[in-house]
Amino acid sequence: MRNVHKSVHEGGTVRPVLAGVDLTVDAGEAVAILGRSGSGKSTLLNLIAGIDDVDAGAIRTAGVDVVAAGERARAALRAQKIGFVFQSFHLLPTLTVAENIALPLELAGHAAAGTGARVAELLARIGLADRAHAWPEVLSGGEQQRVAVGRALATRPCVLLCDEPTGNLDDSSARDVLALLDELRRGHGCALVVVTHSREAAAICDRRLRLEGGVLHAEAEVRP
Amino acid sequence: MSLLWRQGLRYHSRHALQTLLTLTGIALGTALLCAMQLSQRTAERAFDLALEAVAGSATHTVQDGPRGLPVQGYVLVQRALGGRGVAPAIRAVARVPDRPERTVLRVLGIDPLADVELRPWSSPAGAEHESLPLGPLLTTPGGFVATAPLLQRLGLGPGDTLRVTLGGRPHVGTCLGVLAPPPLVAAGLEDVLVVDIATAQEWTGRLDRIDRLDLRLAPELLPDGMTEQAALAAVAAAFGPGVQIVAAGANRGGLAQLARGFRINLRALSLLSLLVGAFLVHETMRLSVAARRPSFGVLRALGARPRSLGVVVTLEAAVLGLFGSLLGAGLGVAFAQVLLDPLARTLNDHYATFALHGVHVDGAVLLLGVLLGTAVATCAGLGPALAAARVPAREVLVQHHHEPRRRTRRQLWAAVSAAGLALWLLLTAGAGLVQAYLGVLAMLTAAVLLVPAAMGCLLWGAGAGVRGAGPFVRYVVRSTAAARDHLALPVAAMVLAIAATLGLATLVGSFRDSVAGWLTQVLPADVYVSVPGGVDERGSSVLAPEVVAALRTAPQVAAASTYQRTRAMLRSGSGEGEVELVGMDPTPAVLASFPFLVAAPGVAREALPRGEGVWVSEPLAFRWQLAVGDALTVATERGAAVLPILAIYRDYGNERGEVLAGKAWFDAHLRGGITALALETKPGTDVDASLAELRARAAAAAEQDVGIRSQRELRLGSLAIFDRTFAITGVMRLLCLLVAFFGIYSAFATLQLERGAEVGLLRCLGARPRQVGLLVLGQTALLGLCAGLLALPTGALLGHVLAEVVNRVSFGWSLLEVTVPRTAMVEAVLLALVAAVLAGVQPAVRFARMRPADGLREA
Repeated sequence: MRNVHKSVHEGGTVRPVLAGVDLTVDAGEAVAILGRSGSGKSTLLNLIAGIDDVDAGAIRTAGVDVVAAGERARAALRAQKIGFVFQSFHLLPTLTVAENIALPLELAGHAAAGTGARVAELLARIGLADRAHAWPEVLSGGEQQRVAVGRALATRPCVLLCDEPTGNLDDSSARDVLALLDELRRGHGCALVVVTHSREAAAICDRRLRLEGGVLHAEAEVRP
Repeated sequence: MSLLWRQGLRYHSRHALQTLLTLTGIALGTALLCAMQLSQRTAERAFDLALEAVAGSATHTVQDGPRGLPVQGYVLVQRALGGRGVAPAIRAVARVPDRPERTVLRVLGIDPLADVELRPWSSPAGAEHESLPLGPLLTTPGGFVATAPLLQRLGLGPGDTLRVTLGGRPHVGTCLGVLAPPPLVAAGLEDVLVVDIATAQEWTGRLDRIDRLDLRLAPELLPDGMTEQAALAAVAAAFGPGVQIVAAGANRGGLAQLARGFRINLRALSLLSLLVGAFLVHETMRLSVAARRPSFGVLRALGARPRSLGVVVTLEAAVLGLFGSLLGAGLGVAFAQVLLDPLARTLNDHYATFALHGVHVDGAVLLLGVLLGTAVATCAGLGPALAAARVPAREVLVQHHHEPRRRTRRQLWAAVSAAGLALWLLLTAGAGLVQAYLGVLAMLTAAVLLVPAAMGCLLWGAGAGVRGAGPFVRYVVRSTAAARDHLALPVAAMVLAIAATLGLATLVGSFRDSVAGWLTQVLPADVYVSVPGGVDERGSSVLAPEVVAALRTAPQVAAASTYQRTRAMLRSGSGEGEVELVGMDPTPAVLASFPFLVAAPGVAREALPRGEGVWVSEPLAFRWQLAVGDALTVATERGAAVLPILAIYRDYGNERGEVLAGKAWFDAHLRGGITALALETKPGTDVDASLAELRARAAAAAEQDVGIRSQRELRLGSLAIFDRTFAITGVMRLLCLLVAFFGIYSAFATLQLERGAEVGLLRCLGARPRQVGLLVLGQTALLGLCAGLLALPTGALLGHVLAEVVNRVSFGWSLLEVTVPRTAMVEAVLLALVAAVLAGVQPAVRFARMRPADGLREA
């Protein structure tokens, strides 16, 4: 990201959220973005994924110029090169656990017949092989977030974006999910950007940045 | 199956009730459409088969209107064409007095010896039939054969006799055997007595004439060297000028022509039902998209393309439409069976005499129904599909998902535009029925678009009205008003369906009132006399002169008007065709009774008896665009006669139209006996008591079955025919209501089921189960009331347009007065209320039983 500016409209007034943000994340690197509620952390993540539009500045994600890309190219970027984990899990209630994980593969254009092995592998790694055909609504919050992590990594993305991945979880579940995230992203070698309030979540990252006043400040180097 | 599809299908299977109701809605719409088409096809097929059975493999038919053809001409043609491929026929209508009231049969007189090449089924030489009792048929007076189903229906076997009346005159037929033609021909002969032509001549009293001459001008049958052209020239020369030589198939589809207006009206009604079904699909898909906005947001965030989501939703609608319309096609066959009886009665009352015993299941009609149902459902899903495609990826970040607000101002502009278009289409419809219906469609579109705004006004008024009420009542009203955007569409669907039933009630009610008023005006005499029976294919039956004389001179009769009805070829600047022409010798009272719409000033009534012109009925004037002063050319036995139009009069008795001429002119130019009498009794006569005396007098004068009815009986009989005609509309109205009810139920029940969170909160705040139930019922009742009230102006407007534009374009009739029946208005509001409250029952019970925590979990 280079000199990215973004404002939001709130009840007739315009509030600047990002005011010239610069950020580079290398392949295999993990970065945590910390900050207060409303500071623009999630907005930053959405801009990286092409879910939202910048007011000014440049963003290049996995080699794609997100600002210049059209909706179709952005959709392709998200389908093939980005994995997303949300605070509220956002599993599709009408698909089973296995089908939720297979969904990004299908959206990325993989033939349905060839996705079985990959889904089975991910189910095993997230520890839910025996719940493959369960509906999301019967899973606990921690289990749902593990499915969301499995789904995010299904296409072996270059970039993994996590928006408060432990925000809705109890401590124990949060620890499980963070351990899983750390293990999987190291296994895949993808870049990780985590937006979080949690020190524990930040601790799995290589770098920790604080978003304040619309710009990023380096906090401190943390143990890899 | 793709996961995108799978998630969509599972959404619908998880909302089974909603899906089932939607399927039912589209199924009912399709069923109505298929039923209407199937019953009409059945009637048309019966008509065409009857024509085919009579015409056989003829290539041409020679005919000369009601006069018939001289036998000598037939002999000349036989000689000229070498005796092959020429067969005469006589057709007539017979009543069977010993059987139930409406048993009317057709009589077909043929020459079995001449029929070999044209109607092989009727010939002993025919391959299909070897047991025709040729000898007895030729030699037995009154001998007939008929198909096995007809004989079974009449309870007859070989050797049995059957009493029939033709033109009111009694005859006795003897069954000589069973006719076993090929199945398709048999279907056309289901109500036909086949007799030798000599018997037919005797029964019809036309010993020297035949009705038609069927020709098969095939090269192998013509004399060597004779071409078809030469053969036709020889036929024309044999009969002289004036006869018509018609190519085979020219009369096909005759029923379709006759019943055009009737058919289009009913088809429009079934399309309206399908439209209501489309609303259901739209509503279901809209709600499903609204409920799935979070999922669509996730899909977009995961990389799904907008187009993919749009396609998924469109195809979901198409699949719903396909299954619904497949179900509807099956249901349509059953509905068609229900419609067949009223349709057959109507057609027999007005158009022709033939049997309709079972629905002819036409695969093409069912396929068309399925395709149309699927297409309509798919189109109805396009809006929601667009909404799904427009769900942004950032929707995934939103905690509370709301559908985008409807754009009220844009809707209002669209409504005004649609209303303007409707006005233009209706005012310039002229004789264009399709344009008139497009106008109605535009008008209904405008009404639907205005519903949200009108509903807002009504709910605002309701809110103001309950300002002093308790918080619970205020909550009921305000929460309904707050959900107005979401509720507008189901309410609009309900308004449309109820307005349609109110519009139909207005049309039928106003039409009936007009006919009743007209009958009172045009029946000034006390007693009316005619030959009873169905529509005779050669025109109305003639009263025996002895009967006419006996009745005219009866002591209680003061004056009599006579009518001579025939058919004649007429031509004007803008139209041409065979039209019923009546020669009338009216009494002053009858002359004064005709309700003129337009007349030549001062002279119209006096000039008719003098033969100085004709009067034309409104339907004919409308169809041929005739005006007073225009000239009509009538083909008469003396050549063409030109007469000016003196007046155009109101006439609901004959939708094809007719022309009235003076008796003197009629007798001088056309042939035909007296077909009806209107008798005016002397002052102080008890009309009902005198009927028996008049009947006895007629019976004593001649052996003819004569119908003698008082003015009151005739008026009531005519109104009974009217009611039978519109019985099918009543059936359609009921089915339309059924579709409407399903629509309303589906939409409201689904909407209420979405409100679990709100109800859960109320329960947490201390609301009792009963209060929650009342809340739901109160809201649905309020919505029903809104829909019922909004349907009143829409239905009244629709009724006026149907009565004053569509009815006129269809039949050429203008109505005396159009009024919206009060009972229908009350019914409309009650129907809306009841349907809405019923739709609220299930959600009310569910919410009353729901644990508060479960409700909150739905948030």
